[in-house]
Formats: sequence, structure tokens, C-alpha cells
Amino acid sequence: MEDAELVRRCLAGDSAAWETIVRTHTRRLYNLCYRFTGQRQEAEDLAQEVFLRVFRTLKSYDPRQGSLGVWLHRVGRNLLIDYYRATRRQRLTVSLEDELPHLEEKESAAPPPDRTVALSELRATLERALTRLSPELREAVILRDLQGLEYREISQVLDIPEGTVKSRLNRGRAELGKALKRQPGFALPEGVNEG
Amino acid sequence: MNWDCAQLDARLAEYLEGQLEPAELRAADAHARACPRCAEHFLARRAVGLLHQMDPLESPPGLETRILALTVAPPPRESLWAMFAGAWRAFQQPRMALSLAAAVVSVALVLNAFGVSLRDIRPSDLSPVSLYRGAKRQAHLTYARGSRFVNDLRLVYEIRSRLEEIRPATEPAPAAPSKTPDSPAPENKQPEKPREGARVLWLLAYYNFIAPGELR
Ligand SMILES: [Zn+2]
Repeated sequence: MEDAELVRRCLAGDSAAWETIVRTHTRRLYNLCYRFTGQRQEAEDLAQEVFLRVFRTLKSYDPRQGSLGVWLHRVGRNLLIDYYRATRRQRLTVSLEDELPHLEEKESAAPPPDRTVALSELRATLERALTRLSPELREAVILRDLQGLEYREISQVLDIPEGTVKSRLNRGRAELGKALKRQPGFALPEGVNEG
Repeated sequence: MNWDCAQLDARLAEYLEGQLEPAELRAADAHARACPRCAEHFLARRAVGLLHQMDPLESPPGLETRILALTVAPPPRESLWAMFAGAWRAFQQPRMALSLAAAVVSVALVLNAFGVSLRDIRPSDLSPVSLYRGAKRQAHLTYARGSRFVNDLRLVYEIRSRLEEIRPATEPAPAAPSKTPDSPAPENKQPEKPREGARVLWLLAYYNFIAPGELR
């Protein structure tokens, strides 16, 4: 079903349409928030807040300004920027617990071979480096390299020209590369990332 | 044949995202590895490759359910987020989990005494929307009024999402699904439907048997 039609049904009181929207987009929005904050609890609260805001402002959805997914990402991104500003001071005294890298669960299941250890350390380093990028670079990299949005969609989410999207992406990726360079396992992954 | 700096710069985005043809990619890599000026592109390409390999996380259990609960009725004026964060944190205390378990047991006893058969309840009866509509229809339920209803419904969802979280450790795996349409209780075999424990609590909250205070 078209996004506009889905929204129209929601506004007409069709709760199944709203449930479809929630079930279709929750995971992606949660991932957006998690990658930006690096913290599961915050990400969950923020993702939830995105849907509350969208629900309250459904009437203002304009399909000409992008898909529903783009709109949700835009609301999420604005919330993340607010969150970033609000927690800036707090982050300077961040607790040790928050500093621990959050690895994907599947990696902690069995003792992996050395190569996998090195790879998961690399990923942990990368995740941490991502949450330390400036918010402008971070959001661009997350939207493109993790959420898989098109340049045009990113430009709609961030409300900046595509050229700016690309230059932020280049800068953000370069900084992440620098963070990896200091990682001992980095020399290893021959063939790991071909393609 | 290796590329030069200008060639790499011209197609940097494609290079970083691994979208070049294999031969081009090899040529670009060979240049980036060897050229001090382009070394940072080589590192950036590694970073992007690793990002592409990261699988998206699953949604936390209960998140969708909670979002739906929070959006079935018009939200109260205060910041929902702040109010909800408080309730959510309270649920994470171990003491809370214990009293929740105690509540489940006593609730099951009460229901048994009332002769309520859980088999008769269909998952659709327990959806937030029918719960809301049901509450609206029944004037004797104080739940029908505004934010009190919203808050209590939120608690119900909280309980339900809590149960969804603990279920894998405490409940045996469901029997293999049967393809026969008239096999008994088919709703149990679909992972998205409310489970037995959660249903009990839903029911109770629905009929106002448990007040939020009892769980604290
Ligand atoms: Zn060069």
C-alpha cells in the first residue's frame, strides 16, 4: 500500500493501518537511534518517542517531501540532535559502563577463532568511533552505510543538498578509517571486506 | 594497471562503497595502499566495508507493543516520554520482577476460581484497540476516562512486554505448528500473539482486578 494511502487510513481511524506503520518501521528506527547513541536503553526510549511524535503529527505528512520512511528518519534525526545537545555535558562524565562496547549477541556465543576476535574488536572500535564522530558526520554515515538510504533520501532527511551529503560522508568515513588504523587487528582482514 | 590520485578522487564514493568493477577496484586499491595522499581513502574503505557487514539489531522485545499502547488514545499533556521512562525503570528492579511473578500466580488462581477458561480468549480480544473500545463501552469501568486509562493501559503493556522478554527462559517451546485449520488453539503457535501469561495479566487489568499499585 502507498504511504499516502496508509496515512489517510490512519487519519480515518483505521488502527490496523497505524499498526502496519509501527510494525514496518520500528526496527529501522531503533537501529538508527542505537547507532547514533550507542546505548540500547536510550535508543529504545528515543525510537518510541519518534512514533509518538509521528502519531501526533500524522496530519502533516506530505508525500511530496519523501516516503514515510524518510519522514520517520527525519523525526528521529531531529530527536537525536536534541538528545545530543541535551546530553553533551553529561557525556563528559560518562560512566564506565556506558563505555563498554556493545557487541552483537551472536558474537559472544562461542569462543571464536583469532581472526573472528580481531574482527569483532575491529567492529567494536568502529562502533565506538561512530558514536564519537561529530553529529553532522555521524548522521550522514549512519543513514548511508548502516540504514542504506539513497543520497536523495538522506538529503531529504537532513534537509541539505546532495553534494553536502557526499562531502560529509567522505569526511565521516575518513575519520572512522583513522580510528581503525590504530587498531592492532587492522592489518589482518585480507579479503574481509572485498566487495 | 594502477590508478592515479585524480582517478581515485573522481570515483571516490563508488570506491568507498565497493561499487567499482573488480578490475577497477583492484587498481584503485593498489594505488590507495601505495600512495601516502590516498592512504586515508584505503582506511575509509575498510571502515565502510565493516559498516556494511554489521547486521541490524532486532527490535527490543515489547517495543512495538508499547508504542501501540501509547498511541491507542490521545496522549495526556505532560511529556509522555518522561512519565514513561520512570515507569519503565521501576520495572527493571529485581524486586519488581519478583512481585510480578507473584502477581501472575495469584492472578491465575483468581481466574481459575472464576471458572474463566483461557482457551476461550482470542488474541484479537486483547489487542489494544479492542481493549480500548471495550473499556469505552463499559461505563462502569473507571478506565474509560482519559489519561487514567492511558496510564493503566501503559502498565498493562509494560507487563506484557516484560513477559515477552522473560518467556524464552521460562516457557517450553511451543509444539510444532499444525497445518489443519481446525486444530485446537492455533493462536498459540504464532509468535506475535500474546502468550498465556501475558493474557492473564491483560485480562486482569481489563477487568480492573489488579491496580497498578499492587505491582509496586
Ligand atoms: Zn593518490
